[in-house]
Amino acid sequence: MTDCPNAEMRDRLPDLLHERLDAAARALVEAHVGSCADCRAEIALLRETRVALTAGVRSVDIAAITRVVVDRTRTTVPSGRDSRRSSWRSSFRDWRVAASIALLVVGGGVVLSKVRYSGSQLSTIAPVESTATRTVAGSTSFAARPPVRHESTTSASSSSAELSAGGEVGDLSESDLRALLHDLNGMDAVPSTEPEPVVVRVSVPGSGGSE
Amino acid sequence: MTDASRGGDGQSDLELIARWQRGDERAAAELVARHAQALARFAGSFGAADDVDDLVQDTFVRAFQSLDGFRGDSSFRTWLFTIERRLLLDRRRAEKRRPSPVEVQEGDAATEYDALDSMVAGEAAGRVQQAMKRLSPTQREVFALRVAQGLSYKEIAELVGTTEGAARVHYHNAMRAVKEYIDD
Repeated sequence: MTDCPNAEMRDRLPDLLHERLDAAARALVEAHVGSCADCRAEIALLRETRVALTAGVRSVDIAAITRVVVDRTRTTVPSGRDSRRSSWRSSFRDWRVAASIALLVVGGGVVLSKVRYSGSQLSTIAPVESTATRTVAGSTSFAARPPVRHESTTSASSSSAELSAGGEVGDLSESDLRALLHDLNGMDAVPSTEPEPVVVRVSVPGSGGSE
Repeated sequence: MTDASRGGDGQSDLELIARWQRGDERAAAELVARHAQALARFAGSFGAADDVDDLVQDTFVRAFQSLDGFRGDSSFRTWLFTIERRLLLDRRRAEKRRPSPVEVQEGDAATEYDALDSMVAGEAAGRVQQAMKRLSPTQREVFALRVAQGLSYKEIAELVGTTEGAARVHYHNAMRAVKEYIDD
């Protein structure tokens, strides 16, 4: 038995035997086999071999196998509907958790910012009020206080705002306390509530002097 | 090449698998009906004669239990063959470990085709069986998969764990050896 020199055709003979060729390829191979004695002999040998390899195999009981397979795997393989439902439930649960966390974060942030805002409002308003009072008082003396005083007052108010924003003094760190003390030292003395004496120069005609 | 994974109803194996995963038991029955006999032939070509039903059943059970692992890279039938082949090899290993009351003689080293001796398939088939005994284990396996099952070289390569080119070479060497034996 010799080999056909057309290796491509020989390669396809088992596919022809098992009807695994599409129509075009099948027509091509069949035409070749019709004109090639070597390929005809080889395909006959392939048939014999297939029979030899499968001759002792009896038919299996498909219904019995199906029953066993379904019984033994039904409990382990979730049905698609259940799987989809559980997946949907799981997804919905995840979203609920995420939404709760987001609500807590946003709500907490709003409350915290309101608390801070109201604290800073209180701490800013008080010095402003004192500054305003002092300005009014200063304006009555006609001799305006130097601008330095006003700046130091602003500095004090900002320090006090920091204090309020941070909570109590006990909450401040050592460095914050040092900075606060430094600011306080840089401030002028607390302004007196009493107005400074007003000097009014009155010129009296004919007296030659003043007062 | 034609699509061996599509039945007469036109539904592909993948579509049937999807139906089974949705809880449709008729899809499981259809898959078993479509591939059981091929699995039985495959087992027979490996020399399994007595426990073919059990083997086919165990193959389907294992396959259906691990359908999540089937990615569809190969055909469903090739995947089933892979599982069945592994089961067969496991059983052979277990049998070898089991102490035998009969003393094993030199030359009794079990080949996957010893059970073929018990087949009665005519003179021509007997000659083919004798010829196949002269092949190397890999040549026998590739030759049987190509001739008895009609698998492509690609499918054989996936199943046996080799390359497509190597599977082709094994097949042609086996065919040449069988021809030489028959011509002698």
